[in-house]
Amino acid sequence: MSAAASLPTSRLAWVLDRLWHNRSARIGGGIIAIILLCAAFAPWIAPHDPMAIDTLRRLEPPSAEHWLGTDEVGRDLASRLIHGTRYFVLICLITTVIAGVIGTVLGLISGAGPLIADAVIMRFVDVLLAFPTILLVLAVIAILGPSLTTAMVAVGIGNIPGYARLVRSAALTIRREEYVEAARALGASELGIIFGTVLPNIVSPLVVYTSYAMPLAALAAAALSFLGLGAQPPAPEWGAMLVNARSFLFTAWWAVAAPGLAIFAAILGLNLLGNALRDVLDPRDA
Amino acid sequence: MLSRRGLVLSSAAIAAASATPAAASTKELRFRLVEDPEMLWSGQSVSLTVNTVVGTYLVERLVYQGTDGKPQPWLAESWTFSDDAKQITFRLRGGIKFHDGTDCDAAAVKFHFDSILDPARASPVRPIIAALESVDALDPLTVRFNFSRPFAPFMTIVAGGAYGINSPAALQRLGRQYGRRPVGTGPYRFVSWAPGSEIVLERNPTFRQLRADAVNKGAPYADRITLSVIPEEGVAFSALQTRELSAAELQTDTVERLARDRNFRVVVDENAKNLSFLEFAFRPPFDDPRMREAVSLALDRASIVRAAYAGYAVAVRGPMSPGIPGYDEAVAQQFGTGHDPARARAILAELGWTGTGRGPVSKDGREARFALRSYANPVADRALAVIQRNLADIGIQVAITTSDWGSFYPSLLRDGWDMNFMRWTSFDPFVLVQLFRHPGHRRALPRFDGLDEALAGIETTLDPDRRQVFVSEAQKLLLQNRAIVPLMTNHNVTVVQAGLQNYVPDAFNLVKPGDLRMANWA
Repeated sequence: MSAAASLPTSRLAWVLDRLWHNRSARIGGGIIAIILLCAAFAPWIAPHDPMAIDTLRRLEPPSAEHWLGTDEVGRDLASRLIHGTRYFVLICLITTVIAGVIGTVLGLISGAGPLIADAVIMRFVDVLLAFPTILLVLAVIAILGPSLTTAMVAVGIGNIPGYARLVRSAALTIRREEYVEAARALGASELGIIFGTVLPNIVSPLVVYTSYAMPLAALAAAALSFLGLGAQPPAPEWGAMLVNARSFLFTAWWAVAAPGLAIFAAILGLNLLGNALRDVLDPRDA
Repeated sequence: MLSRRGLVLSSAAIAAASATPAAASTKELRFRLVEDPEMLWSGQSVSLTVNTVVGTYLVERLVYQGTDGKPQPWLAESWTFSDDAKQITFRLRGGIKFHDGTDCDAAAVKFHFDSILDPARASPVRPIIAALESVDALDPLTVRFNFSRPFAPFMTIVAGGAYGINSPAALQRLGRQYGRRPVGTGPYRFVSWAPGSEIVLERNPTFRQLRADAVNKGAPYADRITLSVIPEEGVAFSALQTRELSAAELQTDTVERLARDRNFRVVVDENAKNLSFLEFAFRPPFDDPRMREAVSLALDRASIVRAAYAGYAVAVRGPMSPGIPGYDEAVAQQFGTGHDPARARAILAELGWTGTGRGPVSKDGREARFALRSYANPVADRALAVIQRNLADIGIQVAITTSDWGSFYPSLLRDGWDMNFMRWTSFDPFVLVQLFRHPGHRRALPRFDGLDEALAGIETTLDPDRRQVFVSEAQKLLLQNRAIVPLMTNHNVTVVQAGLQNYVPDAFNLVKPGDLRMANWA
């Protein structure tokens, strides 16, 4: 497992090949690729300034000029959706990095480090797990104040326990492997063993878990924006767009449908890709 | 009299004849309540919902406010002022009975106001009539109000729902439970209250309508009124369509679709008395009136009105709602500002704020980035989107943070903000005193020459013509000093079933329920 799990070039090619022949991966990957392209080239793709207000043309239905119609203050919905991909990508990355890095480090130290560290870290994780995630997130926002940055930090913190427990579990198993014992017998330091030997061997479960946690984090951030606790106006963040348009459900469905479907498609894409990654990387199926 | 944000504490709306079989024998109207009232005890709550329910159906006041802003006889048939203007003596009409059969006389009026003045009850409406010291029942039909100083807004204040007269006998019998089983003299009697669901009222068969502006002088047309608690706009919309409600006060977002339907009629209260405006913390650079003027000139009020209320509002230049008697349009036009972004940019340049045309302007190394706070509300969000864009167009970047009113309003007493988006509803120019007497309602207002004197005149001058001089002067000083940036007054909009007759809001946006009837009722 150790050789395969570290994803050398040959292994990466094998994974990509299997993903290419997986229908879920193609659909999910296609959606995510479109989102990434939109995020990268938003200023060139968007037909209008996403912040430009024209209240004389508010809530216009889709037309040749405004592909998805206009919102409650006359802004072009298509342009705002396209620019909103940047927030989506940013939220996915930041929340995953915060949760992944902190959770992984805590899990590694807990699983492969000294017993006292394991006891302290796991009690801390237990305390975090004792709170419902949404309550934990709201508590962080209450302390730091509502903003997109706070929402990302809060959601990231909320996801730390999951990573920590997963990595600890994997590290506990791996630390008893012979190649770890061999490294130790050869005089490798504990820190070197943790980050040089154990970490590369838990990449697969980490990737699989990330594919599961990332869409949930994106959804949580959108929900926070919907509650007014995330992205602040006039940011074209999809959750914020949804909450601003919700009172027009009966009179201007497109203003609600556009951000709603964007969130749906993006989460679907991440989930499909995540399922495919799990199918490909999960050792039980390999 | 004074109520925060009508839209949050929005009122009851009217409903229609039920389509149920029972309606064949019972003439029933169903009304919408946006929220469940905390109680039904006038005089013990400042909630607009409470005072709208109680004041519309259950209790009557000494006077009501006519469309000209002047007090009109109701339970009181006449009143006189003492020479020093510190006493008002009301002459009550005789023969008025509470729903429990007891007399509504001078003793009952005294009992009601004594319960407000009683420190033990800590009535929240007490500070509004701070100048009232005591009430005397001179004889069964004569009651005298004694003030520590002349108090001009009193006649407007007592026309509000919080000052409707409750039955002393019921209050003494029920104690704290009175708020769940109110007894007044109004056109409807309390029957039941399922918290969070509905309040049921029945016709007061002995009711005599004493208001001159009412159509029906006798008992109400409808046998029963049910007030359904429907917070969700979409549910109210559906209930109107299915005729479970025959009328409901709706947000303007929802109105348009029904406005095109011949089965409904839109009633717009164009005498609305609210004002949305921007306030300043008056910390640098907004301690300079020219900086505040630049903000005012940058804002496209017509665009804000369209975005926020779909046009069911009017752009305002003066510091008071045009619906409040005393609003001086001439002062507003002379001293207010219009939309002139070029002039706004020129003022910023004169003040030393310069930029490249992209991003915020800057002065002495400081970029024009400021904090704007607001209460959380979809309508406010849309207004803020336009405001934010308008200010960005002149090089001022504002970061907007919104929170619920309970967090937002107290937060203004602390540092950390430059501007706030505020909305108040009032029925009298006294609102200027409450908001702008130094140091202002959020303790941020500097002292402007002559303003407090003009505000004192508004508070203590009973003669309408002399008082108007002070009202106009205060409006002028507020505008000259750019103390606030007036934005708009939105109109209350109610959608009613086409067959509902006599739905006419009065000066306080309350209907007379005794007048309401469906066209197909016998």
